[in-house]
Amino acid sequence: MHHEIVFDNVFFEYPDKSFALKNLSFTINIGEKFAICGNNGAGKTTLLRLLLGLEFHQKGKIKVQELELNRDTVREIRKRIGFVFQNPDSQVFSASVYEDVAFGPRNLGFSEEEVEEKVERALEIVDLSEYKEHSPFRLSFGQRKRVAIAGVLVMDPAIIILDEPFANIDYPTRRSLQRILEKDVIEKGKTLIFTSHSRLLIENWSDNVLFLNKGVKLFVGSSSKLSDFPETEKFLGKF
Amino acid sequence: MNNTRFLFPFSDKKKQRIFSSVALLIFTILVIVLFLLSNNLFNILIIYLSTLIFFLSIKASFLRTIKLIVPASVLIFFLGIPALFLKLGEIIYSNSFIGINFEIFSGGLNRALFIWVRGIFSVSVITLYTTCVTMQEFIQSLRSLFFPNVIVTIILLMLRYTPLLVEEGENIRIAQKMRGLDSASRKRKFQAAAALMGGILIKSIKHGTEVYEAMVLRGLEDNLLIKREKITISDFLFLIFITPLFCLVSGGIIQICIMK
Repeated sequence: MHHEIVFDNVFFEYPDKSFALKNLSFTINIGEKFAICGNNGAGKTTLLRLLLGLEFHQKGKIKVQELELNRDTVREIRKRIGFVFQNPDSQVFSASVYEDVAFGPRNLGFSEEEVEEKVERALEIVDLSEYKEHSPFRLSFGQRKRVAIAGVLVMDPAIIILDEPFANIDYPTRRSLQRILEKDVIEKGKTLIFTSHSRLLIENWSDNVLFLNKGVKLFVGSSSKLSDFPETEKFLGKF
Repeated sequence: MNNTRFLFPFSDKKKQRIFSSVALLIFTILVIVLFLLSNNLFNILIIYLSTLIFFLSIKASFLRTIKLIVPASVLIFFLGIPALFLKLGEIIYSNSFIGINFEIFSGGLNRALFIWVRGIFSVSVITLYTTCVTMQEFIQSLRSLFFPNVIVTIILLMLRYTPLLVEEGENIRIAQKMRGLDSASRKRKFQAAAALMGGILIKSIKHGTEVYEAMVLRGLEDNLLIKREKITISDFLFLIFITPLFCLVSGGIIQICIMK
């Protein structure tokens, strides 16, 4: 079976030795919803940074769609992955919603007609078509988050990673974002990876889960079996 | 929705105008050049009033302009203070304070006045312009005037992130006050101010890194691609006829006032 992402005995340590991911091995299958959870400082962000090629592991192998991640392949791998930051203000910077969503396709060298078509479609998916001329900074946090998601969907990546996608978001906005991701990511057979602290979200929404603590894998497997894992209650609390 | 997230009060929506934002930008730059070239405070005032009338006629927001001018004036006031002490002309004021003699010369006062008036009026005209256009129109107008991509990108990011940092700095300041800073000693207040500056610096580095990484992850390899605003025939007509007419009218008013 082909895996979308393979981590094989991956070791990473920051130069100041402040934190390390130790011999991490797991796989993510094509088209699954994969959650990464753990306490603050568990290594979730470091893991994502390795996967995005923002940091490079020192030992082991990371493969994305059969392509081994290294300095030579990082650009190609980044084209296959879309990343939504926890804080949309880190990602949304253009002067209008349209321009921000168009940023990625223009970088990929699409013609202006193609860019327009792709942007219109992405804005329709996140239900922001009527705001395309607006400045994103006059929108609410939830709307800015949707702009950030549109900016990633427009590039049509095979894998979408979301860092704490529903943090600081009210329930209706969360539901609407989940619906968008279900419809345009999961139903299209794309792989969705997200980090979260919410046990409710992990158990109800993900297929598989990786549980990290201080850079070490505690649990990896089906999210339905998470409640059987003795450390779950200690780290994620009760329902 | 937070208005403090903007350095300038840009318009929320694209307004229907006869002239494009490029023409208005050229006009704004021209007015600022006139302020700089004019060596008479009265002339500067007349040019400003004519510009104000023009911008109000195309639905610029004077109220939003005033809101920005007030804090900007404080900064401009401090910028003009060193000029006050230039030893030019006759002494018009002299006093001593803790053994230091303060003397203000007429030439120095004149220079300071020019800095204040030119500064405040220039900020006011730029703000009037921004209330007529959206941020996107402004950025595209700069590209149309052949500003390099990298400069426009810096301006865009500065416009975007400076107010955000100001807001974060304000939050740190409120947090310090809520923890009893008001009743602390002067030394503690000074330390808190240093911590505030340090906090803003660290946050700006963190923001900058995140924004750069977000750009790289969305395929940025070289420069940002910012579209140019189209320049239409009406813009050329505006620049060829209306702008010289504006200069003539404001110049004529000045002449009439001087003759009186």
